[in-house]
Amino acid sequence: MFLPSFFFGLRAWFLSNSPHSRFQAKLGRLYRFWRVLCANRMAMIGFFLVLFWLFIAIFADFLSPHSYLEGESLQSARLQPPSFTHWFGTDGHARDIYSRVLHGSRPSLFAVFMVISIVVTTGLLVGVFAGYVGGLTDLFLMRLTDIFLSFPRFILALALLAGLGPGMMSILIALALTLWPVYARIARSETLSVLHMDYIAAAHLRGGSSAQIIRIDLIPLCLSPVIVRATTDMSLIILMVGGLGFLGIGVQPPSPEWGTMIAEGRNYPTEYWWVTAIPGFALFTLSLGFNLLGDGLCAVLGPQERV
Amino acid sequence: MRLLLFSSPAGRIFFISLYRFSLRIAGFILMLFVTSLGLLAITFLVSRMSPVDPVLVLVGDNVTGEVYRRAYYELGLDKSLLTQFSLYCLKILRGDFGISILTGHPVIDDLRRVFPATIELATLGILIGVLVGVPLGVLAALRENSPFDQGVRFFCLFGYSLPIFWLGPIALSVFYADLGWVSGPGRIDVVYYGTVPSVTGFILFDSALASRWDVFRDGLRHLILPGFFLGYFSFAYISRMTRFLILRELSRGYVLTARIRGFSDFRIIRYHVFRNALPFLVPVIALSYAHLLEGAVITETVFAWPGLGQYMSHALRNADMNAVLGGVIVVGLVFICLNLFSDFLKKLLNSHLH
Repeated sequence: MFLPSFFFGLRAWFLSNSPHSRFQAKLGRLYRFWRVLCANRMAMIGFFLVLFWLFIAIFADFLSPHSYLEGESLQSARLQPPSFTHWFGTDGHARDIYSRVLHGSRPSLFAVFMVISIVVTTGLLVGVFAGYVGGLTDLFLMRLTDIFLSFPRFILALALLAGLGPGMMSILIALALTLWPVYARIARSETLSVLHMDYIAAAHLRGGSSAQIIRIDLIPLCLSPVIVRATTDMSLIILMVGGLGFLGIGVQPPSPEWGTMIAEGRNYPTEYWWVTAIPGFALFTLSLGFNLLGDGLCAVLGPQERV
Repeated sequence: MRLLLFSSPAGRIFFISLYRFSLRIAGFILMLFVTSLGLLAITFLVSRMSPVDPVLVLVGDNVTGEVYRRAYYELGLDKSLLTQFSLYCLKILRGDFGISILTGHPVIDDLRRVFPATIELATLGILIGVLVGVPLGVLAALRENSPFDQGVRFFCLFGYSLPIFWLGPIALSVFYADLGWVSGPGRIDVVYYGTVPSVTGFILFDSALASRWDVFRDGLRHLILPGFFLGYFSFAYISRMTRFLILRELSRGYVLTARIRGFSDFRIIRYHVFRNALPFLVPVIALSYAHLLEGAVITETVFAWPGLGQYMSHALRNADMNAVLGGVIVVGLVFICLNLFSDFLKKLLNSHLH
């Protein structure tokens, strides 16, 4: 009896037309946004796929029944098909694939988190600054973004990996270098569209400094297209980490990484399909999750051209 | 006539737009130059950063200090970094990428040998992408938010999320090993090696020129599966962009005018909307082609396609720096050209519209 009335009360509080605090207004907006997103079935599938993998990445240590690094007896437990002891079978080193797939979500999501946080911060700052200042600075910064935007992402990662040696660092650098200009462009065009509105002029009259105006009045307005773009870029990052792992130059064995696991599985005949098929499917579901979510967000937050 | 060209308002507008156009071209060329220089700077730094001592690569491990020092000076390693970089650029301009450790040939010869295979694959991919993507994109735009539109959208998202190194081997084992519909990895079967003289480097052209239709069919059977995968990726991008462009055209005033004048829907779409959207598709296709060339690295590794991508990934695994960086420069330059060209065209079209 108590629970429904509590929730109905909360719902009315969220949807109140005269919020009593800024906090309530913000939560209300978030709630409305959430309701619209809920109506989009594909977006919800994507949302739960992403949530599922996030959960697994955090609790991988508790969820995996076997060690992800140490195999069992090489004589008896190699390349076992899926069974009750090994849900997804074992690989060529007699390691439990289920545990390895769970732990394999970590490098991918780590790369996503690192790259997106670097790239979105840099892109927003550069883009909003360029749009706000204008003039020659704007011209210079935008030409700079053009240059970085026309670099080939994958090939650049290959070159850096060849020079710095295999590992996560080169992948992060290559992705960060080629992704920030996208956000700078988005932020600049959003800034230009609101720069001459009255509320910016009001902020000037109020005596707000440039830094304040950029931080409070401009950056929050650029966020929604940036979020849409970031979600679809997350799937790109996942695929790139996997692809470089597949080429044998990404995350190095024995660390579990989906692309690397697929590359290892290629050494065995196709009868041992589970060695490649299961990590590949995991990679696919995570990247599809980000893409579905991004598509749904795009529909809710306003459609725009996909670059 | 000449007087009219200079003094009339129309003539003046013509000259002003000519002036603006040449400014744009100059800007495009400048950007191309600077970006290429940036790419070369990165490959130069990478080759300097690598833990391998370039002198020891040249002279071997057991040499006296005298020999080492001479090689050091001859390589120009005592000069400033800037001088070294300009010497490096001149070398690249001459087409001198060094010698590949793996094959023992100059890298430029290797690249010339493997590049046609990549072009062949990417071209088939873009053909599939355009021929399937554009009609589906137009249909999806005309039936906006219908189940058909949703289906195409889901199919595209599927393509965006698909790791080819996962589905490629599965497709090979199904369509090649089990069903036998297509041929296996590689470019042609072993029995056909060397049966047609290499004129253009493209197997399909060469076999057609030599009228060896059995070789032609075999080449096509090898090409179809990797080509289909690359085509799927470009299809995903092209159909999405076509849908967006058609929808943008449909929202313009002239469509309503044409409807009021009583033109049939087919006529409006075919002769007005599609014709107006068509130029905007050119930069989309150019960009898609650039991404295909880049994405060919993984596709070629999966299908053992003897192109640039497989050459590079093979060189990477064997620490053959000259070969890797040579490939990076060639693919990078082509990518940069296509990308900047696409950007240039897009800006030109948009400014023309305003």
